[in-house]
Amino acid sequence: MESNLREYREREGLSQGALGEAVGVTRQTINAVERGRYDPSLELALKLAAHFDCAVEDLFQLEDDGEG
Amino acid sequence: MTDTALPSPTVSTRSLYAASWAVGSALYAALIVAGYPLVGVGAFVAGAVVAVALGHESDQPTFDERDRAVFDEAGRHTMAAVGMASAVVFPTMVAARALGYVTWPEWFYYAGYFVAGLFAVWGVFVLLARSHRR
Repeated sequence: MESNLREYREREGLSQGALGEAVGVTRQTINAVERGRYDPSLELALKLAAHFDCAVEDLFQLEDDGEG
Repeated sequence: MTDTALPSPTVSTRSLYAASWAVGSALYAALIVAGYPLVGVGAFVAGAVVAVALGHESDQPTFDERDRAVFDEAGRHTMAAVGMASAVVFPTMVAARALGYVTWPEWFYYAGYFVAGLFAVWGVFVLLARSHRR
């Protein structure tokens, strides 16, 4: 899954720790989501979208496998 | 450049939480070996109390959904490894014993009971989890 979370976070000048605190997870989890090493739960994805006032699809997209 | 590499308070809490369990457990083992089992138990309990208190008092989550996902994956692999090993070892030993090739050491009975108990507990939790998701 591809993520635009870093762009949204940096646009607001937030650190990973501050964003994690805002949505109730650790800094490490925000870092893992941004690096594509962890797919967030639906609940976390919705919280992140609500925090940035955008749609979940704006933050996360399925990776294009090149066959579509 | 952002400050994303800076440690947050959660890192300290997580580290202290793990360190409390580790120190308590190490003292527990060391004091038992040294001949002070009750003091060892006290050290273990103290470490556990400190760890739980740290997690409880922290403003930020000590562990979150990613940690739970990691623990779930580790648990799945543990149960699979124990299950596959047991499915080979115990029937093989039963057959070998029935054929008179081996004599079971006493610890092997306890190992068998432990594995059976482990999977019984696992089965109970599977049923509980299913009932909660209906």
